[in-house]
Amino acid sequence: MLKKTIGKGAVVLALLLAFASPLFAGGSSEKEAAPAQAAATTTTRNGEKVVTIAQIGNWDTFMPMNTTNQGSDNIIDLLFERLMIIKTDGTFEPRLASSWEVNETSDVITYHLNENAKWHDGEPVTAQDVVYSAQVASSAEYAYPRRIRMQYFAGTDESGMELSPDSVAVKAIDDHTVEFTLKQPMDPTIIYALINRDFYIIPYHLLKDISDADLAADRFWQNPVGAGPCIFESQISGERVEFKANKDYYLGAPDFDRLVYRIVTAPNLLAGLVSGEIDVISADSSLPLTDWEAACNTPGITTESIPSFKYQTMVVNTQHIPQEVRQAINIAINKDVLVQSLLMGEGRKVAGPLTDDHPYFNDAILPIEYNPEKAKEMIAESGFDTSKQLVMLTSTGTDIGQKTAVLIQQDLQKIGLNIQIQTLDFPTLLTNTRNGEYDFSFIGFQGSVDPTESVPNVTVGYLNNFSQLTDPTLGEIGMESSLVVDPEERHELMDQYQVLIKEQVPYVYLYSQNILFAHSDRITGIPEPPVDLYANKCVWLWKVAD
Amino acid sequence: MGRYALKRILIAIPTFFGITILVFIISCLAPGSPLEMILTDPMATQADLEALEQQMGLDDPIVVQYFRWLGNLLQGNMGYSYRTKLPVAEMVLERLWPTLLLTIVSTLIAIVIAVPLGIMSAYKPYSAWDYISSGLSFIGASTPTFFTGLILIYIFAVKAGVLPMGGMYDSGTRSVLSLMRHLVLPSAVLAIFNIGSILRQTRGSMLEVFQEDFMRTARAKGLRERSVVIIHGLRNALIPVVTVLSTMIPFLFGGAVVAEQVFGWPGLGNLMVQSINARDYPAIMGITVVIAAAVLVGNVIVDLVYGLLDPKIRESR
Repeated sequence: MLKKTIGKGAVVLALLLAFASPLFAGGSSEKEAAPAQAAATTTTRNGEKVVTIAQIGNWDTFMPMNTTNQGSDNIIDLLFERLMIIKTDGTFEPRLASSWEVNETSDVITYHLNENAKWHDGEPVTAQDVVYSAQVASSAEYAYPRRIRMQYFAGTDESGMELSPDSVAVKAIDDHTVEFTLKQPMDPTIIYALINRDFYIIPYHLLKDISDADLAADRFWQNPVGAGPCIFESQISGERVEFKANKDYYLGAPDFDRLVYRIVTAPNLLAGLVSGEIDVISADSSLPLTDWEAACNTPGITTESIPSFKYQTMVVNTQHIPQEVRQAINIAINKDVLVQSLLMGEGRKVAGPLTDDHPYFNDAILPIEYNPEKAKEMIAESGFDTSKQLVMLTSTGTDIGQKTAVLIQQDLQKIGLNIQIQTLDFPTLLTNTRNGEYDFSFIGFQGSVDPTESVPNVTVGYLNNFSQLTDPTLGEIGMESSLVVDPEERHELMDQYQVLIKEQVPYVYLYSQNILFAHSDRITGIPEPPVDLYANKCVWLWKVAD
Repeated sequence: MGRYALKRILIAIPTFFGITILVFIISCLAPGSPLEMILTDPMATQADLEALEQQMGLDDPIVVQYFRWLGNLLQGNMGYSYRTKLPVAEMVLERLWPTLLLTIVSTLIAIVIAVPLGIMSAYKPYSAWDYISSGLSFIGASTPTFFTGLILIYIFAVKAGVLPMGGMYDSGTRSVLSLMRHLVLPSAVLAIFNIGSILRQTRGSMLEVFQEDFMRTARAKGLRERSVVIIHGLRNALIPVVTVLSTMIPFLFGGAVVAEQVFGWPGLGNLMVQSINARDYPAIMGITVVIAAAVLVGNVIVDLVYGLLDPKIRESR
């Protein structure tokens, strides 16, 4: 009897499978596609050209002045406009500002906005929008997490906050000309790099009636209207954002109809590229190293290993480890092994916070020495108590970070240091490092065209003074170099800064990992190396095959 | 039955508040602070940190913070996320239904497969059929979901190209067909994981029931074998199976975290991980409230199902 039941069950199962078969076939329009492309969501759909970009991290918000998250910046950059594009070689190209100039005394920067720029609702982008954005960024009523960058403009205090309502010295000269007045003469390239990195222009005409205090939580950001190359269409929180192409974009109409930005876990990035579900991997979400070789050998995928200004450091607690010992540690770590074995050659050693191709790099800090014997002698001479167990913090989630810790632990054991590795989640690692509850800790930095990017990390009083320096010299030199007008003078100061960093060793600078960039051959014309150092992918330049 | 149900529901209320107190204290005492994650800008200073701490009320004692949160909750306000500045209730509701859809579908698949297999294994214990089904279910239950997920993605998305590797819909569509295609792999992964325990429990309790006198009596009365097994056997064997299911409810949310991550499924688990990483207390508490409520409601339902399955239970309590 039971057999009979099973027999009937088999029939039902067969029927279910028959019913489910359209699910597996991927819908009628995709039936004729090649097998590996059958599940693709990115190819032409209903006659539309669709491009899908994948990133690992999530986005928080579409309000540009409410985040410090790269995952948000990537999406915001498709929606909103910045004044300039910052190129990887340290030069600048027009975006919203078609030109700009500095006055003779180097304290007023004037931007001329592109007169063809329009908001997605058809209204023109004007100088009033730029003024409004600067006022929100410095508003006492609005907690802009990057407000400190406004501190260079007249009418703000040391934290970048306005001195009185709308006191920030940014004013509209006419509809398409806007003037930024600095507190004191400065090298304008510092301002270009600092401000244009993530200063996005938001629409005055749509937001003017909302108080600054209520702006971040306003419903506008759930359906934002920008002026960028893509028009917001919908989102599934935590999964994707969908855009329509802005065919009226003033820098050129994108060669696609729809763009999808998806969140994909790192192990699935290559799978997505192969199956055709992903066209481009966001440059900040490098492919995992373990998948790199396979990606390079897969037909249909273009790969590029791009050197970057990013760098990985081992922070050393200067209150626990004396300078001679820090210097010994710096030469005891085999950075070649880190680069060749761990990064599989897709990176380079670094001697300081500036990579060797940075315009402000000082050759005098070379060579990068590796001499464990000498390091051992230096430790012995210093009289440092090597019996003490030293705590090395590393964070979960970064496989390379954890392997780096193990390799360095072995290197340091060879010179007699006793290291205990503690693996923490990143927020805990950050808190413990900022509070000085560690001996060594691993933190990576983004780097920048701006040579003074690393200065807050060695300046007393800043949260990111991770190595707990109490000697103000490094910070003073660094801060001074960010304020000098003459590039020559800055070069000299930055040279001095780098030599002093090598001497004091508040951080051991380990390596700069390349960006492992990959995209489908279907997309061409992606500026290579990515033209913009930060989020900008210049999607309007891409050519998309049918 | 009415009194029994009321009693179950009343017990759930203090449990719910107990859970919120525990989670609030644990998340506040955990090292790492939301301020640190908000102030990642390299130029932030200690003074910025202190000003922000005061502005967000994070300098108040934990007890004050908890009651402020509870007061808002009782007025229907779950607060605003530190990370996104959006209302937490909206964020949680947006993520709730994908998680419910995934967990309910995967549990149903697991039950539909595991219960008949369990019955068949018990009907012919130590047969080849029994060994094969038990062996396979063990493999499924002991393989981590992320691994099963990656294997299924490799087979069905990369090699065969018949199913999407993740996400919830194809671009530009919100159709049911597209949703179902995207649901297949994550729900299969969760179902594979759960089949083992349900199958073993069904098999075990059916084996016991087959030895009972009433089964022999039923057969002696000349009932059809199918009626004996399904009506007399299964109904009695289901109580322990329901127990296993009830213990799986909280786990389903936990297990879904991994499946959601692997498949980019926009559910509560994913949101929880992001919120914990950002130490986003309002969001953590919002998700806790929803999961705690779901688990408690699930347990109350299970208690009521016990009562329905076994009159002795509803009368004795």
